[in-house]
Amino acid sequence: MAYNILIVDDSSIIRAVVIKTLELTGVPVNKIFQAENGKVGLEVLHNNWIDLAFVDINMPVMGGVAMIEEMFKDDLLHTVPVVVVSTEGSKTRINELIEKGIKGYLRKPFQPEALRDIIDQSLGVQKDEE
Amino acid sequence: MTDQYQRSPGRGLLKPINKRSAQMQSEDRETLLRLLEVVLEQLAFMFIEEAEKEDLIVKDGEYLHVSMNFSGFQHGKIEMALHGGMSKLVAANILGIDDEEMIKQSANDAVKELLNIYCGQMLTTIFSSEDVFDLSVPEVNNISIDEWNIMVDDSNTIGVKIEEFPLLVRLSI
Ligand SMILES: [Mg+2]
Repeated sequence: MAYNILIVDDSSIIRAVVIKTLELTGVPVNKIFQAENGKVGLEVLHNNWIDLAFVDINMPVMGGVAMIEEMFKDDLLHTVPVVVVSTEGSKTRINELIEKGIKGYLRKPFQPEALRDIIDQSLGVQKDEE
Repeated sequence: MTDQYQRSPGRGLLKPINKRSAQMQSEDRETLLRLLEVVLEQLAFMFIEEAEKEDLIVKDGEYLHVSMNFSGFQHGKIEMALHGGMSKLVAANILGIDDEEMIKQSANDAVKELLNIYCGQMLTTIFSSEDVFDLSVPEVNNISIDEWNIMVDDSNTIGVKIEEFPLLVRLSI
């Protein structure tokens, strides 16, 4: 099975790094979708099957917290595994997101190995639930 | 009103705002410098050298200024200024590419993300990871030589050199 992956980050350079790391991990990828803010991210999610979403917190138009809240209110989108990739360091905020149901959290700057581990973990969690 | 810093002594490296002197404390400078070292190394494989004020004064060149605000537990602003060539170097190193056109296109984005990451790390280091902050989106502009040199002169500015390029950081709380 090859995965559809969504990367939501206002920084094109971070999206490029995540894509590059994904390629290096050898995770079978069908299609990579990109969004520069939470609003565009939600549109992609409504129109496409996504197996895993990487979501930044600090973005213009709609930030990651608002996007994730919208996802978890949605009957269909709440099942999409979300990994927060952000400079956010507040344990208080991260714990709130974990309670809401995000699958993982990776703090910027990150090592490629850490991203690979979190991908394996998140997709593994999804497989177990199927 | 209770002083939040008294709840847990030593939780942050910075003193509460009402107890801070106008001039940045030396431990604050050290913290900002150490974080800059860590973030640049991890994000862009770049190594900083400490620099004296006189080595940071410039006469020519193109310089960028990037800034963002934070609010929540404390309000403030973090700024970074750097040589235009350095912004391209940051982009090239993050992406691991040497495509000139792509590097040029990514340079502003690279410095914005550099500051964004630096700001996030700085907030949990000088305050605490329990505190919640909202960050603005970083904004990047060109600055003149005069504006650069005024920033160098500010007692709250810390400056370093990276492969001969100067870089400044200023935290205002
Ligand atoms: Mg961002």
